[in-house]
Parts: sequence; C-alpha cells; structure tokens
Amino acid sequence: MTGPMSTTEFGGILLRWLSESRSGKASALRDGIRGQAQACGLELEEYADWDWMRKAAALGFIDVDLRADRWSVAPPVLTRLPHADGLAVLTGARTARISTRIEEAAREWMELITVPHWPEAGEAPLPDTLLFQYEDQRTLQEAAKSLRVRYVPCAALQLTELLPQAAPGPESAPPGGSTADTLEKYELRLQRFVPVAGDDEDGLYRWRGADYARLTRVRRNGVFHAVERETGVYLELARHRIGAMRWRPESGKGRAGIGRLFIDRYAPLPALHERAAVLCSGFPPSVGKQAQTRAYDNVPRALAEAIAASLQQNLEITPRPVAATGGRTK
Amino acid sequence: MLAEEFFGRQHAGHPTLFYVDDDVEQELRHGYGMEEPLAQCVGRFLRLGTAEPYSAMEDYRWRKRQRDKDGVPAFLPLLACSVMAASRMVNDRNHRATAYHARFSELLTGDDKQLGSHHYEPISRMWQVLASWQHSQKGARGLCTIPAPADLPSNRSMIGFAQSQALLSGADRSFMPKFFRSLREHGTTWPLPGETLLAQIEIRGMEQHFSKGFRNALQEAEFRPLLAKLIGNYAASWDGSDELVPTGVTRAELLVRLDAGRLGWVARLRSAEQRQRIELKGGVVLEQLGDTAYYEVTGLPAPSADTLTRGIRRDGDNLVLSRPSSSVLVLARDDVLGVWAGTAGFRPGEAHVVLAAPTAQRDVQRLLDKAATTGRSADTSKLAWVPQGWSLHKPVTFDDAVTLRRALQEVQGAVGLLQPPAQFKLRLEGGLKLAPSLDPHLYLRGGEPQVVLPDATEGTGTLLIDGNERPELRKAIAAGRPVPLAVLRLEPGRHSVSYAGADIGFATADQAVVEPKVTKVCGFTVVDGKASESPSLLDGQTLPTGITGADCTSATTQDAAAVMELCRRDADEVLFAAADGRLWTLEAPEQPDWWTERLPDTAAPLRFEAGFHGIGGWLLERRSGRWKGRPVNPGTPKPKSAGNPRAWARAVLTAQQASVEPSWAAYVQAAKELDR
Repeated sequence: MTGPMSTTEFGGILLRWLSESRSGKASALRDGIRGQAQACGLELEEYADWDWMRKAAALGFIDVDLRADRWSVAPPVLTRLPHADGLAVLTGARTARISTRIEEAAREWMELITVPHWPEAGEAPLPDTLLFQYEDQRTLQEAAKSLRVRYVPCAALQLTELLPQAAPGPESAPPGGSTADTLEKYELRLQRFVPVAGDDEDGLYRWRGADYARLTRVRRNGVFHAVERETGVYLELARHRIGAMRWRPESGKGRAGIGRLFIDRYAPLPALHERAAVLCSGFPPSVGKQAQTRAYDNVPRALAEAIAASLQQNLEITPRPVAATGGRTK
Repeated sequence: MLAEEFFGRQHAGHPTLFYVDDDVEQELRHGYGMEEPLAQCVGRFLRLGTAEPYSAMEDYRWRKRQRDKDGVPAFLPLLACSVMAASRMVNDRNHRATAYHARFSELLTGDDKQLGSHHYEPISRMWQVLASWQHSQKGARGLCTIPAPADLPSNRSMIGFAQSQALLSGADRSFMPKFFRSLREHGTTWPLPGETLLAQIEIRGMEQHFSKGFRNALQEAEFRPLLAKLIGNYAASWDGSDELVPTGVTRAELLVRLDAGRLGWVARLRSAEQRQRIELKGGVVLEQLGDTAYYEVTGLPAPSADTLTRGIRRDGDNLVLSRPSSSVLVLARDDVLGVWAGTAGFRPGEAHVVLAAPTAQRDVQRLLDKAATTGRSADTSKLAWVPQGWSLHKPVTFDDAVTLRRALQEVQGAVGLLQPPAQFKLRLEGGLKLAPSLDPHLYLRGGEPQVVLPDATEGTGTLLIDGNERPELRKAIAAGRPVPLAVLRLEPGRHSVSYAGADIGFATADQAVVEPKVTKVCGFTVVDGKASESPSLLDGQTLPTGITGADCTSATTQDAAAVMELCRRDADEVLFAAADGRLWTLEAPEQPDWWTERLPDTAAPLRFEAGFHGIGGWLLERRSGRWKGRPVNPGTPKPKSAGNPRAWARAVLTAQQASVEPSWAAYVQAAKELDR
C-alpha cells in the first residue's frame, strides 16, 4: 500500500493489459507483473509473479499453459455463486469496452459490488472482485446478455462435475542422461522436494529434462508415470493416507451445508480444482494463521467432498464454530 | 572485419579492447589482403570543410541499422582511426604528447588543422553508441571496457573514449597472464582489485615489461583509475591459462547455477553456430539444453570451495570452456533457465544470492552493510550446497544504484568488480505494451515505462516529461533507479522524455487500437465428461468443448432437474407447494458467514436461496398480507399422492390470489376438489 498508485489499480491495470492483449507469453506476463510492481513501488516476494498468474487463472481471468509458456485471456463471464443469496461474479476479460459497459450498467440498473483485493505482504494485488447482486436467475441471464458477456449458470458447480480424477499419467522414461544430477524426491515429512542421488524407491520425483524443463514423475512399482506436481503430491498423500483437507460448516442457522474449505499450504489444489473452489465466492483463498493453510469461502459440502474424492482425500469435517453470542462474562 | 576481430563472439564474457595502432592496422590489413591503409580509406568519406565532416558515416550507420538492428554499429573504421591517433600520443618532432586532434586530423586528412576539437563531438557520441550496443549484448560480444562519461577526466571528456582503448597494447595484454600467475603463486585471493594490481607492478618493478603508453598512463593521476579498472577486468576474467583471449576459437562461459538444492555447472555458448553436443578434453561433455544458448556440463567436479577459487579451463575442438577463479559468487534469477545462475555484476533492484569465500567475507559484509536493503539472512550452517567455509547472503537487493556504485568503489577488494552495467544512453524500459509488434512505443495508460538515465556526473541534466520537471520523480532519480512514469498519471496520448539533450517519445492509450488476433487459446480439454489435468493450447477441435476461464457451458449440460430460486428475506411466510401434495415452509437461513469479512460495506442480503432437486411445484411468498407465487417446474398437480393433502389444499387456497397463470389455476382447482 505504498506509492501513489493504489493496489486496487495495480490488479486492474494488469487485467486491462491482458484483456487488451488477449494472449501472449507467460514469461512476458510475469515480467509485466514485476515491472509494474517496481513502477508502483511494491516490494514483491520471490515468487509473487507466479502466484499472481496462478490466482488470476483460478479466478477465471486467464488460462495459462506453462509448458508452452503461453497465456490467453478467458472470455468474459457472468456466473452465480452457489448458495450466496443472490450474488454472481463477473470474471474473464475486462477490456476497456467491457469495463465501460459494466460502469454504465452499475450507474443505471445493476447492483454492483466492487471488492478490492487485500494483498498479503509481498503479494501482488489482484484485480477487484466484481459481484452482481441479482433478484432471480432470469434477470441474471438478461444482465449477461445486455453486458454482452457469457452466461454460465454456476461455474463452481459445473466445474466440479468435470474435475479429473487424480491418477498417475502415462508411463514415461526414468530419470537419467546429463541432467541426472537435478533429481529430487518429494519428502512428505518435510513437505518439499529434496535432492537425492537415486530413484530406487516409489514416490514422487522431479528433475530437469533435456531442454531443462522441469519434469515431475511419480514412481509406482518401479515404473515412472507423468504427473502434474499438484496431483503428484496428492497421490503421495493418498499412498501414505495423509489428509490435507478440512471442511468446516458455517455457524449460521440454515447454513450447515455450506462452509469453509481448508487446504494445507504444501498441497495446493490442481488448477481446475482450485478454480472450482475459488468460484464459490469469487475471492482467492485467504491465508490462515502462520500461513499454513489456504481457506476457500462459501464452499458447499458436496463440492468439497467432490474435490476431496477426486484427489483421493478423505475430507475431514471439523465442528461448527460456536455462535458468537452467549459468551461467558465475569 | 573490425567487428569480427574486436567484437566477435570469441570475446564472450571477456573484456574487449578496441586497440588499434599502426602495427595492428598493418597486420590486419595484410591478414585480410587489403592494400589501402585504413585511415586513407576512411578519409575518403569525410565531408571536409563542412560543419559535420562525419555525416556521411553517420548516415551510413543509420542505413545499416535499419537492416540489422542487432549488428555492431557501422562506424568502427572511424573509431579505429580515433584509437590509432590516441596510440600515437607520444612526444615526437611535430607534436607534444598531449596533442590529440592534430594527430587525428593528420591521420585522416594529411593536414593537422583540418579536423579540430570542435568537430569531435559526433565521434565521442559514436563511442557511447558502441558502448551501449555492447552492453545490450549482455557480454556475448565481450565485456565493454569503454569508460562511462562520468569516469573520464573532465579535460578528456571527448577524446578519453579513444584513449581508454589505447591503454593496453597487444604485448601488454599477452604479458598479463604471466603477471597474474606470478601473483597467484603467493596464494592471494583472486581476483585482486585493479589498484592493487597496479601497485604490485610498481612494487615489483615490472613496468619495463609494459608498453610506453601503459607506463605513461600509470604515471598520470587522471588515467590511473581507468587503467586500474581495465586491468582489474582482465584479472577477473582470467581463467588461469597462458593467453587472455584465444584467437580463432569460440569461448563458452562456465557458470554456476543453483537448482534442485545443489550447485552445478552450466555452460553458455553464444555463438551463431549451436552444436548439440560438444566434447572437450578430459572427458568433459556439453549438451545443449533445448534450443537455448545453455549447455549441460558433465565430467567436471561439482562447484566447491576448491573448484570455485581456482580457474577452470577445458579445451576442445575450436572451443574453450573457461571460468575465472573467484572468491565471490553472485547468483541472480536466470530468465532462460528459470533458476539462480552466476552473473557478472549486481543488477540494481533485483534479488541476488551472494556466496563469499572466507577471504572475501569481510569485503562482502562491508558492501552489504553499506548498500544492500535489509531483511537478508546470512545463514551459513544448514544448507548442504553452500561450499565449505563459505558464507551465504540471501536475498541481497540493492535499491539504490548510486549508493551501490559508491560502495563498490569504497570497498574494492573482492567485490570491486561487481559493478552493475554502465548506462550510456537515455532509454525506456519495461511498461505494459499494447501492441509490441505494431507499435513498440505504445503503452497502456497506467502501465507507462520506466526511464533509464545515462550515467553521468551528478547534476548534469534535468529530466523533463512533456517539457516539465516532475518533483514526484526526484527520489528515483537521486537513487539512480529507473524512473517510473506510471506514478505521474499521464493522460492518454503522446508524451516526450528529455534528458541532457536526448529525447524519446512514447504514446499511451486506454485500449488496443487494433483488436489483436488470438492465435493461441489456452484452456482445459474435456474428454468423456472429464477435464484434462492442466491447461494446454486448444486447437480447432478441442476449443469448442474446452473450458476457458469460468466458461464451461459447452462442456456441461445444465442439470435440468435442479432449480434455484431466490426468496425474499422480508417475506412473512414462504411456502412451497409441491405438485405431489407435499408442503414446506421455507425458513430464511442466516446470512453467509463470510459476508461480514469479505463484504463489510455491503448491506445484509435481501434474499435467500432455495434449491429444488427433482421436484416441481409453486413457490409462494406472503408480504404485507399479499401472496405472490412463482412456478418451479409445476407440472400437473396430483396432491393426493404424498404428504398431507388437507394442509396442502388449505395453503393453496389461502394463497389463491398468488398468480393468474393457468398452471396456478390448476393447483387452485385441485385444492378446491380436495377441500370439498
């Protein structure tokens, strides 16, 4: 929050830039984030640029293919939040034209709630969350039409149906060759990759390929399989029956089916799972105490269970918080 | 020819000197089979008697540049002559040792009065253009030894560039490795700072091994710092072998990288020809990493306290791999590899990892205390990859380039050579470009670029934006940082930046003028109702059914059985009369927990959500005594099939004014029949 440019503008300008540019190289996007932070006098943590890219993708603004080093802006979408008492989120591209239409609509007929992102220390601020308070689903559909954005009934619930099952991917070559000295194995106890000399046990490994791209592979019965890092960690957790997910229902009467999903920091959700969880509230996850968890708001229990099941996790249900009223006083 | 000889890729990572004297000129000429002396040839292109005698060469350079933006600026022959003139600066029958312009004029025109000091300004500018070009090549065409304007003595601010290149003759340079080796025999830390090296030359009485030009410069207080810097650069890049620059051989730099929890080697080969696999003597093999300039290195012992402080050199077929010894290792993020890798100097504003041998530890600590931002740790203990006995400092950031330069000069020692690259011209950096391929100077408003000012003696220029000095920028200018224009909140349109006689223009806009084509769309593919694990580039086939952002409509069919309706919280009563005769009273739940945290300024919700799965009926709301109803897949009412038909009928009849729709009328009719 230093410098004459507010953090709100920071995320908005970046999103405008991406929306007007439509697509580009992921590395150029990260350069843009760092450069803009420097211009705004924001001090970013080491991987804040990656983090911004990841969160912007989870929020549905962009899609990123890291292997191809490409990003593209997502279509503008209006979609409702589940069990949110009439809130929908506007995500995807936010070009000058789209922003103008939204501003006009907000002046004339639309109940728009603009929520600025509150970044943690060292985090690059994200674009504002734009929520639309609607009266019934038909008005939502009409609103999408007049804003000329796509109407998606409920992205969070719909994405949940499409979540892929965590499983080892196709068989692949074991580590070796000139980059053999980059081999690391995921150490569950330390919750990170550590350098190892050989690959003689099953587990999650990573190393550098011939083009220095990072390869993550899971070894099962001596055979290596391609896997995404996030999924690979969940496969390891499942192999050792370790839980990394908890869900806590809300305390309010009649809200027992909705709650907060807690994910341990070392086991970030795979990209689409993350998007489904984030689009329950339209907000990126909040960081828990001691930064050990990420918490997603407004997640229906069924959705949390679907996420857990697809990642071979047993969802731990924690007790509802006691309502704040009636505390003891002396 | 001059470009290949002096700025070819064999110089990659090593200091280059554009040294041309009469002997070198002759040798080159014979080597390339040319008859006409260089000066005579250049002389033919002069426009003598005009105010701008070098304009023909400047025009030529511009034409060349249009065709080849990355090539060496095409005025090397003229600059070579300017060095030749400097190399002749010894007392002779005709001129004093300090007379430069007369010698230059004589060399090019045969007359010592044709070209005077008042004509020389374009040449000093060309030197700066050359330096700027060389820096922009990031060491691939040799490390620049042309001094920054600020480093030149004030009375040589123009001819100093040429003079700096004439300081070390070829013989001087070939003597250098012998001299370095004699110092290393005494086991001192390496590299030694330039001033210490000069002092050693004097202490050991080794001056007689060097050229006259060198000896003169050594005596001259004004030139001594330049000489010290130059010789220091050579020491820092000396790999322990007998020759400084191998002739006719490509040089690969050996760098340290930090990745996967260990230090390793990586080679960088910046030649036009990129072999995939290169074998060197001693079983060392280089294998190209993808299509980058980097090579994986096998067959060398891993970086350690021992291998880092000794130089490494491996010869191969027309290629040498070398690394100078060094007691300080500076790593920065390498954009190509995506890991920490060795860098030649500090980059202001960026994070570095600094490793220091015990002998350099004091210097490094002093430098960091003087100039680095706080918040770094110097933990030497637990990390297995830190060379034994070395100290680690991470992250090391220098926000203030002016303070950094000053601190490097003060501390000297092992860190004195880690100077950030010098800036020779006014330029724009960064910024959010709207259409880089169409208009490289068009930026999004709010994403204006940063201005990099040329290094110059303090207070020589004022930065003007659209003709005005802007106080908001003073702090960044004083700190020698790139100056961010985004803070000025400029209106969209054309803008100008001027500093010390140079101008740059750029434009800003709120949106792209031409909507760019999206050639590559990323998203999740969906096959058999399941999405891919990670996004990829979607093609014509996968795009129509893929997921992009929150848009997954083409991948899912909306669940027709599930309906969501919003009910008013201020209703006195909300009922749902199902077609099958069941009746529910809907209670408003409490407002979502997270509203108070996430939406503190938003009023409590006016509605609540009710979901209906596989059930149809009418939703009835009573407010101020009036009923209103909405159909939810109402179907045909069959109230006798389930529930409590009498209660259902009573409720429907009470609310019979709720709607005029025929479907509701059917419900009312059914209720009446039940009630009969």
